[in-house]
Amino acid sequence: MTGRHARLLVALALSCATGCALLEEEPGDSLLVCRSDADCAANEVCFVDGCGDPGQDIVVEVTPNPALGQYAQDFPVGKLRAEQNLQLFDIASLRGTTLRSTAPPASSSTASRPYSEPLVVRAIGSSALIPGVARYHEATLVPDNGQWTLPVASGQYAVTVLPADPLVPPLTTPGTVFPGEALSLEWLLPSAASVLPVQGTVTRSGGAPPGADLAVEALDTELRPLSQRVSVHPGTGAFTLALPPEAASASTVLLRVTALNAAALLPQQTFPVSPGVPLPGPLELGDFGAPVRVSGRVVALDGRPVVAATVSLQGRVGGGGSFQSAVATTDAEGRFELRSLPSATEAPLELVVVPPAASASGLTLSSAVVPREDTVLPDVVCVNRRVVRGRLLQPDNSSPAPGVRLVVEPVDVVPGRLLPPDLASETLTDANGEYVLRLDPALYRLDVVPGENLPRVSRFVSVLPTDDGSEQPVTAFALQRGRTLRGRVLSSTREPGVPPGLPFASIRFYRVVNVEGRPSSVLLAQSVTDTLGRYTALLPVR
Amino acid sequence: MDTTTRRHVRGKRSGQGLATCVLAAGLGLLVGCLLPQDDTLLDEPPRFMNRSPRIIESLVLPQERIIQDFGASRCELTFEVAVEDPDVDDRIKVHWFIDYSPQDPRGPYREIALTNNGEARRPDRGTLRINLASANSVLSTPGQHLVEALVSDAELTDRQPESQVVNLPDGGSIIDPGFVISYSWVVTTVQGDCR
Repeated sequence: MTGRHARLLVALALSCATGCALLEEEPGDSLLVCRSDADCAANEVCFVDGCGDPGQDIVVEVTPNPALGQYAQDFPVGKLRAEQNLQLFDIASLRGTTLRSTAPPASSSTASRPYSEPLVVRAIGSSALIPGVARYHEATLVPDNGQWTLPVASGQYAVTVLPADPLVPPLTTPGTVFPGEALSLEWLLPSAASVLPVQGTVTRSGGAPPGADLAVEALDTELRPLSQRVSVHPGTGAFTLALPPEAASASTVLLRVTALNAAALLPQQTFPVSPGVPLPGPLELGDFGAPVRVSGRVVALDGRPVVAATVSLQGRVGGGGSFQSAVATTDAEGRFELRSLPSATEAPLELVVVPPAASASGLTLSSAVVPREDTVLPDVVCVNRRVVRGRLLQPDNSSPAPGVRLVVEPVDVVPGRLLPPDLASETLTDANGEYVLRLDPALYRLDVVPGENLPRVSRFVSVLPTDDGSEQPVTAFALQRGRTLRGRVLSSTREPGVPPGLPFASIRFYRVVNVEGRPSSVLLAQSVTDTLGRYTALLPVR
Repeated sequence: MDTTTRRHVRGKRSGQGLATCVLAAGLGLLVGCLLPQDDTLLDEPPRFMNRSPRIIESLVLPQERIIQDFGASRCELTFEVAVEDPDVDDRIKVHWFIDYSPQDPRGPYREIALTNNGEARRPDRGTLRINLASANSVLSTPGQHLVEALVSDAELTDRQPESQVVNLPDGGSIIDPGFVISYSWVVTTVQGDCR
């Protein structure tokens, strides 16, 4: 009896010990700010927006084969498994019905006929699940008895129908397409008798014909298009627009005249007009002057020339229009030459200089008074980019991570500044894991691409303007451990006898985050399936 | 007797036939071993050869090669190529050229090195994002533009791959000519409200 009790006690003690060993650590509270995984609870990883479970809150974008109309499908993944097969839905599409009203003007009748003439369908939108991922589809279609189908990616869209007949106003309808869904939308185009025609001419100052390729379109006061963009006859300047009947109730409609080619050296000009009444006269572009040559030199703060910088002029010109020059590049002596229009008498043009990514000089704006003759501007002295310095650590959060590639991409402006172009600035960490970037003021996404065995890590960095040339430190952060996720991309719609795995499909894993109060997304991993539809991806793990 | 004798003779003949058959089969096998069994013979081991990368055309973005009215209804455009190369250790680079002119040759607007992951299909993409709202955007000038992605497994000089000598384990060497492949789009920019 005593021995039996002893055996029971030993068994109980062993089972308790085993149970304790299998128990997970008590998870702590999620942190909104973290530097490494060590700052997070046991089952969490330090993401760009704070600690989070690496197996949850992930959205997968699978793009099977856009060439065959199989566009992206987005899926939220509740809990990632080690073998994560992705079962696709059928092709998502827009099923449109285009009708043309046959009712007389000002009638309450809804009589219509199918509109089967050629048209352009333009769907502009974004993923409904992955903030910041744009979606765009455009096709020229000929409806069959007013019906047409356009395969699209899943997402939220504003779908615009632009008939090939420029005298039919465009119509836009919103819609959300889910994976595998065919979203039915209908457009009722106004009858020919009810559209508001706008006929006029565009002239240069003094009534001369434009002599260049121009286009005119009508916009509402919020700059939304009311008409199609139509060409202006270069010899006579004549044009005809068609506005929807609803435009008659607006007090003002804007007619915008633009040049189709930069070589025309003509300003863009907007004319407010009253809809429903004939134009009082030609749309005269005003006295903007003859094109002139503007040259100059771009130098750094130390006086050395800035080579390969891009330079352009923009702003108001005489006659009330605005002008945007073509972009020139500085030569080995920092010199540039532009063709421009003279600046307006009341305000100079703005010279925009963007040095190349490798330069210490940064995006610089300066005023440029351009007279009505060829001119040489004073030297443009560039401000310096701000030095951004940080340190990258190994997943152990203590030893440095040398030789790691970092790439930065501007994602938003800081107030009062122009958005810098994406120069794909990149650098490598040194032996101490330290890196230095020279950036113009903006909000950037910093992507760390460690290589084969570790997953990519992203952070957002706001580079703020400074006058004292001070550096901007970035809090040190650590790389993350990775786990290889495997699976197959499967489709239930494959033909019998064909393997269900989809070859050469694109897969992207995103985490949806909040950056400065706005929803955004961060790419965690991406892959392409093999010929059998299999993929592997490297995702962060604790 | 006759029958018995005949039977005996038949048995003797049968034994000889069997021996002959075995001998013939043995000879046949021997000859078969001596004669070549394959239709083709390799004179030397397969040569080391670099193979070309491939742009996975079904994943190219945008799928439309001709893009109209950029700047009228949208201000951002993303160009992207996915690449596979059976030589998994090759260093693949995507070189983006904008409005390249042989009369005024300039270097690439952007170069993107794709990360190797030991697989033929590179997980990284060669991505070029254009935002007309940004300062001096490369496609901001109204009119037609040519956007090209050149994918190479060698360094490029004037858009041509640089050949290199590869030393082989057996002491020999070969010349790897390098490969470059391309994909292009035509973009028509129009003035709008992007800036």
